Amino acid sequence: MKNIVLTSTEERQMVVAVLNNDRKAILQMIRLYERLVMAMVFRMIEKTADREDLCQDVFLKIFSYLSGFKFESKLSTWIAQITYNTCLNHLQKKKNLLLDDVFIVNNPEEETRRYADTITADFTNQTVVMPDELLQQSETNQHLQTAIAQLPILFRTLIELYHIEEMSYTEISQITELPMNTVKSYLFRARKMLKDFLQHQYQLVNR
Amino acid sequence: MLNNHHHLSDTELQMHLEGLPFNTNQQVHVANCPKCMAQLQLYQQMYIGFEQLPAPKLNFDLAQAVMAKMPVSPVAPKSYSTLIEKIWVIATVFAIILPLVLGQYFGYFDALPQLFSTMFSVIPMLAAILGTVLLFQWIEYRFWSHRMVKG
Ligand SMILES: [Zn+2]
Repeated sequence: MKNIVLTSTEERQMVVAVLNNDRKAILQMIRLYERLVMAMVFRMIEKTADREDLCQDVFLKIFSYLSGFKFESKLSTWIAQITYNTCLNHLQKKKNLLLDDVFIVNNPEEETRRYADTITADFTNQTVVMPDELLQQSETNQHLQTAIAQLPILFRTLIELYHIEEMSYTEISQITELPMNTVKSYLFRARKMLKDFLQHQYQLVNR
Repeated sequence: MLNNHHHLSDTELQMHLEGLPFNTNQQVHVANCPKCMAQLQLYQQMYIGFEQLPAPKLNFDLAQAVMAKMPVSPVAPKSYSTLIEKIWVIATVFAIILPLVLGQYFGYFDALPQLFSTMFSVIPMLAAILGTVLLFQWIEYRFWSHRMVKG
């Protein structure tokens, strides 16, 4: 996990201290994991007021469920799981969909077929972007932010967990309760969509 | 001329970014094909971009806000567990020493064999001791130790 390097012993000591209501330990735990919680909430939730409430709710949940944490996974994975589920509940209440209807396929075979189409699709008939037309990295970063915001919520979350939080497929699979292959295929599709978006931006600039 | 007529697929390009090296054909192709090179560079810029995205920020201190909402004081005092440990140790020491001292003083040791002579007198006593210990531990578990996280 990015920025969090606790050994399992340190993790255990911190949890025990928090359970004993050691205020210092509680503060330390929030400081250690606030970046992860905020990053996930910001990716999944758009409204500022909702983000502010949810970040706090997540931590209150973490502390109220902590006695049930069995050290079967890393603490960061468990925290990410609570964050994910809290945001998911919020989205369901607001009737927001994790995946846009384009991606909602009840039939797994259809899902596989669509994915296969996406990833094997050639770009031969797309306009070519020449290397010297590429934008500066800083411009790319700006476009990338916009592009990520346009992905379906689940895709954004996977990009956040895998590429920014640097979590493993196994961890992400535990957090989202998706099969590992689905996580991988969604990540491929998300990156392809991002690349297509970036390519489109360059074409606009170079028109 | 290109060695390989097929442009690289998005899968191949992404696999490369994920750490799978190009085979020789792919390497030669990418080096000679501006189309594939451009696609590869797009992906490369995307990967660099992932690392440079700004961190999320709230306009208040999340930690302080959460601390303010936490249950202020748990039912147990801060030094509760150490206090209980001390009481247990003192109680145990007294339980061992006191009967010995009193036995010396009152000279009731002679009567002990008679007192414990039958199993019937020992079993209820042991059961009472064990029961008391378990009851105390249950009270501690139920009402003190886990109170904070449940409340
Ligand atoms: Zn090519």
